[in-house]
Amino acid sequence: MSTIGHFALFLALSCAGWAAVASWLSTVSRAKGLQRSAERGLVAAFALVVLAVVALETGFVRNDFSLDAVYHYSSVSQPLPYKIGALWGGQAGSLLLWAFILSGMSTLVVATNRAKNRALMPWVVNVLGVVLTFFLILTNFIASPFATGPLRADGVGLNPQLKNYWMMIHPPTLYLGYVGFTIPFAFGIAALVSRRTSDVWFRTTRRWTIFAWFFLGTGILMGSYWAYIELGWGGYWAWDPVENASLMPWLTGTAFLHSVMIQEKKGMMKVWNMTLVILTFCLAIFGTFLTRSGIISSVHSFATSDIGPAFAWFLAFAFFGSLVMLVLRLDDLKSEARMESVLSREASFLFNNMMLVGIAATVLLLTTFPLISEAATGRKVTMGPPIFNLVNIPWALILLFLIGVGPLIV
Amino acid sequence: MDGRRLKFVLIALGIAATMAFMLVVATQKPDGGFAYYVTVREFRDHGQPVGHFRVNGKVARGSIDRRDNGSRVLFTIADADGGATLPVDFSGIIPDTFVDEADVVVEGRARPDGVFEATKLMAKCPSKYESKTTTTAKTGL
Repeated sequence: MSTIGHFALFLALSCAGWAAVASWLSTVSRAKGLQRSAERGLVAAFALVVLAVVALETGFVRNDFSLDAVYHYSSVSQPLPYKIGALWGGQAGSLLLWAFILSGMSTLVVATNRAKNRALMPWVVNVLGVVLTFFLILTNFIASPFATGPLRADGVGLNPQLKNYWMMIHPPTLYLGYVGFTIPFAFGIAALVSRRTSDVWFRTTRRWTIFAWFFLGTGILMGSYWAYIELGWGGYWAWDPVENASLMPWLTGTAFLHSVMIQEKKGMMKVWNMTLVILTFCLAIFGTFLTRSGIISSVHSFATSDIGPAFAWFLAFAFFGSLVMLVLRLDDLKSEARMESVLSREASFLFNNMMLVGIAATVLLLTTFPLISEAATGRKVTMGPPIFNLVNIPWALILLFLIGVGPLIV
Repeated sequence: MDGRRLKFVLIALGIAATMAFMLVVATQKPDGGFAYYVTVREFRDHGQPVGHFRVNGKVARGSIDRRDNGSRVLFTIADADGGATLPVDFSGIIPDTFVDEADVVVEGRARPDGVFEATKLMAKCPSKYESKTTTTAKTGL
C-alpha cells in the first residue's frame, strides 16, 4: 500500500507540475496541444490522488499498522466508520484530503470549460496547478501520509475526542468550503493576468463561490455544535484560533458574494472584488497554516508539524504575488459608475462589506495578537473571548439590522 | 474630492475609528480576556506577578487532587523539562482530557499564598496528539 501510495503521489505531483508549466507555456508559444495537455495533466493528477486516497483507506480498513498514519489514528477495535474518518485525523491525511478535493474540483473546472472561457483557462489551469503542486509537495516530501514504521500489532487509535460522528462529516464539509474558494481565486487571477477583467470571471465562478460559501458556513455550524457536545472545547463558540481561522474566510467570502453583484449590475467596485477574492483565498490558506503549524496554541489543533515554514512561504507568495498583479492591472479595473447616494443600494452593499471585512480584520488582529506582541515587546499576550465579544457583537447586530433593511432600499 | 465622495470616506473612516476605539476599550477592561501567555518558568521568574495570566505546562504525575465531587481540582503544573512548578486551584468543568502529563493551559491569577487560581482550564490529551516529532518542530518557525 505504501509503495502504491508513494508512487501515486509522486506521479500526481509531476502531473500537477506539468499542468502549471504547460498552461503557462501555452500562453507564450503557439503550440496548439499544450493547453489541452495541461488540462489533461490536472485530470491525471486527480486520478492519481484518488489512487493514493484509496491506497491509504485500504491501509486503514485492513489495519496495516506499518503505516504511521494508520498506527497513530486507528486500531483493530476501532469501528469501520472511524477507520475511514481517521484518514483526516492527522496532519498528512488532512493535506491529502485537501489535495484530493482540489484536484477533484480542478477536474470539474476543466470538464465544464472545454468550450468556454478559452482565453482565461490557461491561467486558471496554471493557478490551480501551482496550488495543487504546493499541496502535493507537502504530501510528498514534508508530511507524507505513507510514511512507514516498524511492524506493529495494534494502533494507538483515534483521539477519543474525535470519536464522534461529526468527525465523519465536519472536516470534509469545512474543507469543501476552504478549497472551494480556490476556484474563484484562480479565475480572478486569470482575469487579471490575461487582462480580461469583464464580469466573465465571477459569473463563471458564481456557483463555485456559493458552493464554497455554503459548505464553509455549514462546516462552521457543525463544528460549533460538535464543540458544544465535547467537554473542554469551550461550547458553541469560544473564539479559539481554529474557530477564528474558519470564520475569517467566511466573512470575506460573504462580502465578496455581495459586492460582485454590484460589479455585475453597475460595473463598480472592481478592485474591491478582486481584493476580496484574493483575501478569501489567502485567509483559507492562512487558516490551514494557523491550525497546522502550531504557532498559536488552541484546544482544537490536533496535529502540529514542520509544515509551518512551507506554508508561510506559500502564503507570502500567493498574497504578495496576487497583490502585485492587482496593482499592475489597476488601470483595467476602473469603475464604470459612481456611488449615487449614501442610501443607495450600492452604498448599503459597501457598508455591509466594510463591516464584514472590519470584523474579519478585528478577528485576525486579535487572533494573531500573541505573535504581534511577542515580536514587538517580547511578551506573549493573548486576547480572550470577552474582547472578541465586546468588539464584534455590536457590529454583528448592525449587520443583522442591515439584513433587514437591505432589501427595503433596493 | 467632491462632497459626495467625502461623505463616503467620512462614513468609512467613522466605521474604522469606532472599531479601533472599541478594540482599545475592550482590551483595557480588567479581566476582559487580556492575558499574558507564559510558561511555568517565565511565570515563576516574574517574582510577584500581577494581572491576568495564561500559563502553559504539563500536569505533574500524581498531583491531581479532585475535591467537591469533581467540581474542583488541585494540581501542580510543571515545565516540560520538569524544572519550575506551580500549584493550581481550579473550580469548574474539568475536561475529559485532563489527566496526568496532559499539556494544559490555565488562565487566571496568582493568589497571595502562591497558588494559581484558575478560572479556565484547557487540556490536551498527551497520548493521542502527535508528540515525538512535533515538540521539536514547534520551534521550527
